[in-house]
Amino acid sequence: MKFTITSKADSGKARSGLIQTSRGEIPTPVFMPVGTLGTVKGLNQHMLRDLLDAPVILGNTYHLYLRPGTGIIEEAGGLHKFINWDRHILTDSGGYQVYSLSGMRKITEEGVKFRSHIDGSSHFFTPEGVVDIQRSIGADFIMAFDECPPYPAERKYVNDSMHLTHRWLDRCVEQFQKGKHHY
Amino acid sequence: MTDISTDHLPLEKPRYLMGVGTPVNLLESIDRGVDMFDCVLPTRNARHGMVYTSEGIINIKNAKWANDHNPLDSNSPSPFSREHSRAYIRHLFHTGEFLGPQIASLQNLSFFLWLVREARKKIKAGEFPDWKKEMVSVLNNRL
Repeated sequence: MKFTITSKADSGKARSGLIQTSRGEIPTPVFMPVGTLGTVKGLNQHMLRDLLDAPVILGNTYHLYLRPGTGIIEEAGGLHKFINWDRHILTDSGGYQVYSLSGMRKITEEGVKFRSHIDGSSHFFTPEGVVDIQRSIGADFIMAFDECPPYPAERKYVNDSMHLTHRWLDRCVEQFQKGKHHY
Repeated sequence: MTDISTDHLPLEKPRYLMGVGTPVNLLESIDRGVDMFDCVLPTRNARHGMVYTSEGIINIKNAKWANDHNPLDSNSPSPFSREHSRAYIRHLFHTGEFLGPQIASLQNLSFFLWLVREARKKIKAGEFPDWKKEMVSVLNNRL
């Protein structure tokens, strides 16, 4: 991936640039439509490509891991093939959804134990596991696993949380560098 | 927070502000050096009948649009918004038809994508700060 800043505003900090990947180009600033479950709700992929000309859409690790599950996405040859979308996909790590959707979550240094908001089944996300899921999804941009603290929260909680997320980031980077593209 | 953060982030890497936001949030954050955004707002609000247009925000379910036979947004990049009237789309929402939320979602996403496309143009042309000020007042309009 290459990022080039092509122009800057005279006042303020606005800048315009270009993200280049093997899949194509994304001019910035960019707004990315959200397609949590492999669909931007209510629209089809022709509309996204031909009508809206969106260069990148989102998917969500937590949601896609629960449904349809990484097995089915891998069988299809990745999320791009599963949903018939040849432009960029960015996946969020699921850190926020584990916080906002799961009825129960237990955070340790190793990772987060949580219950599915669908059927209450128990799952464990680690930084390494979340990188692997995003590899199975085959996203072009993957996000590191983070702890999402509530708001408001005590200063100490937020500070500890930030350091935990930084340690998890190091583990994500290491896992990413050890692995390979699946597709 | 955004302003403080972008002062500390490396200039040469893209900055992604996750889950943001309203059209005004986008412009204010671009002004503070953010490059990437995502948000469920354009699609979620569309499903509830809240439509972002070039003239301001419309709640298409309101009775006031029942007899308005003008296009949803005559300046829209989405052909559906230019070809279908406010009265028709209000009727679709009123009767619970699938097409209403779909047209509204297309309108809102095309509007958000248009907004960042214009922002890019204005940054290149050296007109971003003035344009942003103008746009913010339009974007806050409730029609």
